[in-house]
Amino acid sequence: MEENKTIELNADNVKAQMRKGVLEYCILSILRKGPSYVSPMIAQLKKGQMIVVEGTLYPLLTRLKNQSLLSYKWEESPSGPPRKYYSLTDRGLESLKLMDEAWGEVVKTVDYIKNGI
Amino acid sequence: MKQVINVSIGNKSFILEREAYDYLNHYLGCYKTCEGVQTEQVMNDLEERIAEILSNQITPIRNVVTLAMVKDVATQTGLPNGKPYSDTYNNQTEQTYQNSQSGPFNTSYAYMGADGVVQKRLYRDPDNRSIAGVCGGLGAYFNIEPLLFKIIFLVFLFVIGGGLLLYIIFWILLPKANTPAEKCELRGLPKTAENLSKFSSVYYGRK
Repeated sequence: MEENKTIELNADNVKAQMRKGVLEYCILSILRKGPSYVSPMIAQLKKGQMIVVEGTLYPLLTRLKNQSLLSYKWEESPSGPPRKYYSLTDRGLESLKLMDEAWGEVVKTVDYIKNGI
Repeated sequence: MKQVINVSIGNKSFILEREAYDYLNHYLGCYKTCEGVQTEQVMNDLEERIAEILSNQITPIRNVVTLAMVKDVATQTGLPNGKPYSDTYNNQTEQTYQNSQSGPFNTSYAYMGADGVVQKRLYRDPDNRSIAGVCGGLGAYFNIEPLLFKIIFLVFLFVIGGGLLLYIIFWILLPKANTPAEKCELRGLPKTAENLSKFSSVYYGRK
């Protein structure tokens, strides 16, 4: 019983680490389809079970912005205050392409190891 | 009835219940110091998001942000490390929250007195006088019924004989409490707007 719990906790930890690793990739991927603001990005990430709480996102967005992978501009919204619309910069798009390659490689490698082909 | 506090979140103005303010204040503090210190930019993004969520929940008529609302917000936004806020709040930081709860409100009293210390000075009390207000002033200063001082002076006057002289000395030495501020000092009350207004109607009414 106790051991089951430990295994479960360990698996949860690994899952969280995996998610954390690809969160950046996911954010850039969402923005590939076009500029977006925080709410729909959060909704999509939550739906895909990438994040549990939104708080994870803000430090990441700021970091991506500071690395010039993202840029944002304020736009009026039909309801409420103006919104911050994030979009990919050229540098971000380039970086995303490299991430695509890297992701493909990771998936291939893991498959290879798992199936022993 | 609950006390409310006006705050600006993400450059938007909100009215918060006091409990909601304490909770949110503590939450933002936790978020800021979680996993290293979050930069101003990150905190701005978070505040803008909180403002967005809150403005969807209030209406022009029901415009006060409640504790339940900010609890929901904190659960939704969580901490930078991906952990929910409520757990941290309950387990580890109950104590700090208690401290911060009394913190900002105690200090708010500090700038009501001139330097955080309530001044107390002896004056003659013109609102409470038979002759010159010496006994009224003494009564207000020591928070004792002025009649007691009157009796003491009369006893001195008849039994020992120095009562009248003593009264005149007090009359000359003690300034009259004219302004509401002086009346607060006489009673040892902090000079808050509320206390000052208590005496100002008497003050200006007489003018």
